Amino acid sequence: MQPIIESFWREWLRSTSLSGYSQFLLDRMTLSAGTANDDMAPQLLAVGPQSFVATCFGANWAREATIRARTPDTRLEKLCARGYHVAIGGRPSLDVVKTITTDDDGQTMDLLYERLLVPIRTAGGHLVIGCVTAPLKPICWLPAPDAQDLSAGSSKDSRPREYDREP
Amino acid sequence: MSLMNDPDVKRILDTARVMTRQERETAILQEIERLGGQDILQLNLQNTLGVDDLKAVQEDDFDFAALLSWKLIYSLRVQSGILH
Repeated sequence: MQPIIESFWREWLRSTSLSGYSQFLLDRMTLSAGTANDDMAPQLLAVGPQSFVATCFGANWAREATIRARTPDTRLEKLCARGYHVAIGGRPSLDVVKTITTDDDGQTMDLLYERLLVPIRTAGGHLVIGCVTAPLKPICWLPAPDAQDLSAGSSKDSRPREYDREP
Repeated sequence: MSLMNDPDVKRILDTARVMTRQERETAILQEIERLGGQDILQLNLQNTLGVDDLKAVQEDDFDFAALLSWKLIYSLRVQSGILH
């Protein structure tokens, strides 16, 4: 397990609400709604400026993420939905995801990351899903022509490898 | 999709044109408090504008902060089973 994921796990075990998390983790965390359609990840409620998703999709996207409520990649959100639904059900979900995704500018990247999703209660009693992601390799930006070829040919292999288990 | 094409965003901006900043702040804070979303709003303001509350937002950033706040309110309403 990556150190930041382990830190998040430990803080989750001892925190009773959102206010119990360190600023270090809040800066690297995303929060999503505690409800979602069956085949989709829930809407984004907050995106930490130093979260992995902010690194992937850029600072401008991250700043507007709560307004947009979604990432630029609906396909990826569908593929990653299962872990969120485990967390919505009240259990943490740890998984490893390997995928290719594209940002708002059409730049394609190859990603391999570890992700921990946990259910968190806010001070107002809302269930939200906290997520911290740690890259397992540097973001691999793909050149545009090759990216198109890879994207077209990667439909079978781009599914996230999710291993739902308690850390 | 452009933010300006989002129906929620259009509705929020149309309403904002007829209210003062103080009225907008009051409306947002009342609704956030009613929905128990103070900590999520604070986190969003810290993440995006580096401030802890709406009153500390610079004038130039206030439209953005208000938009963010109302989108958050809409999400919390849906999560609470309240349609808007």
